[in-house]
Amino acid sequence: MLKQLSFIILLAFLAILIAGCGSNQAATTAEPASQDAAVVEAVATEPVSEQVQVEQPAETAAVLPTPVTDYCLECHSDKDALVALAKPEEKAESESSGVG
Amino acid sequence: MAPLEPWQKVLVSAGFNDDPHGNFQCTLCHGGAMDPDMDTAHKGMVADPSAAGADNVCATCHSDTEEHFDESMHASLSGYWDKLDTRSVPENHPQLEEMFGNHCSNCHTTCGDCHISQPSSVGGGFVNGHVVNKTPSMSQNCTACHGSRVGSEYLGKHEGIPGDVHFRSARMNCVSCHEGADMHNSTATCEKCHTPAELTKLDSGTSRYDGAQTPSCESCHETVGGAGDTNMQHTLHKDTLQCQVCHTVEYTSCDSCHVQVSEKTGNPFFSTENTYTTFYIGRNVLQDYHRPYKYVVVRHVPADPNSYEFYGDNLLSNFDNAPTWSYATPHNIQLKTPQNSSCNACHGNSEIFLTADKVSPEELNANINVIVPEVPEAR
Repeated sequence: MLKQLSFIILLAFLAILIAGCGSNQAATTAEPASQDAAVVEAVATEPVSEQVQVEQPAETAAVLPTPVTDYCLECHSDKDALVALAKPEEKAESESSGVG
Repeated sequence: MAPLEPWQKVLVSAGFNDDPHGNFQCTLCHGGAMDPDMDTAHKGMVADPSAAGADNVCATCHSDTEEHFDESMHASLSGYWDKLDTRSVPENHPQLEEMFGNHCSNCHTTCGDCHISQPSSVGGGFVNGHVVNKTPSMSQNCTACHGSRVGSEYLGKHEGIPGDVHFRSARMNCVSCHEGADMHNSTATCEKCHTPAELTKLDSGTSRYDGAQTPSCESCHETVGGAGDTNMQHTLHKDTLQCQVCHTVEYTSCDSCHVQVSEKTGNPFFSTENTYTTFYIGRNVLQDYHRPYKYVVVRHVPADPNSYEFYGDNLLSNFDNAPTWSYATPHNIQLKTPQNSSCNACHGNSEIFLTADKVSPEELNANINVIVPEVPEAR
């Protein structure tokens, strides 16, 4: 009797276990073919999800790029700075005469 | 044209941000260093990285345009050497090269001298805040160098002499006729008439009057002298007279240019004895397929046997090998001129022909093939 009861309890446990696995599979796919695809997909995406987790810091950096200062244009587009820095040109005396 | 202030010469405008060339970091073309300290930034910097030859950065992208530019007359100044060669002997070339380096080579033109800055001969500086102008400015580029004759004639700066009708009426600038392909010494113009096989044999020449006329009047005025032209003068004179004989007015001539280096400042300088306006018809010494005319207008050039005496004696020992009354293409075209007012405005009118009495005795030999021995008879 006890043996029979133990066997029934074991069967019930196994049934519950199998039912839980089936529900997980159903959540991912309804048909065997797509189920395979989903499995493939799940396998395929796992590395991507890892990659996504790795890439997130880089994506954040791309959104907020570090500004690069163009020192050339910073000076050469500033009229006041150029006026202040410009050395007065010494106009050489020209001894030319007539039309060139 | 007033010279630019020092700061104006190097001020980069906001418009340069919209120029494709503005997408590149400055140091990519100019060298130097990206540094907030001016002296550090300018160390090793090349102000004009478009100089001809292997170092021309423009050729990196514009290889087709740059391919033959080094041989163009703007880059090589071969037109000057053409005449120096003709009037001298090889033994005198070292002194003439020294002279050339001091007085002539400043007109050597880089890409930047036409498309970004004013030429260095007029002080340089950005024309448009470093924006690269596909079409050079007529006032700040072309006539900055070509000013005393062409610019003044074209723009009507001589008192009492109208400017060229292409400018006055049509508002055409230089590039309207003098296309970029010609300036760049590209074969694009030649391809209009010649096959690829013929192109390999074509010589671009060393003078602006070598080879095909580019530009030519007929390229726009296609019907002149043709079957449908009702102007009998065109039909009668088409290959006898250069267009300018009937359609230009008085233009600039000069006498006796001498060059030397100042003892006081060490700077080169020149002196031209005389500048005046004339109109003379002479014989065409450049007669060929492209210029079949018998008569052309001629202007006096300021070449003198002693032009370069500062650099040596008798450097132009073959002076008479080239005329001093030269084939000319004055840039003051008019529809109606004194010459085309009537047949006898030219025929029988010795005043407008270059006869021997109008040539200096010491230049008679040089101009023997230009002088008109007998003026066409009156009608």
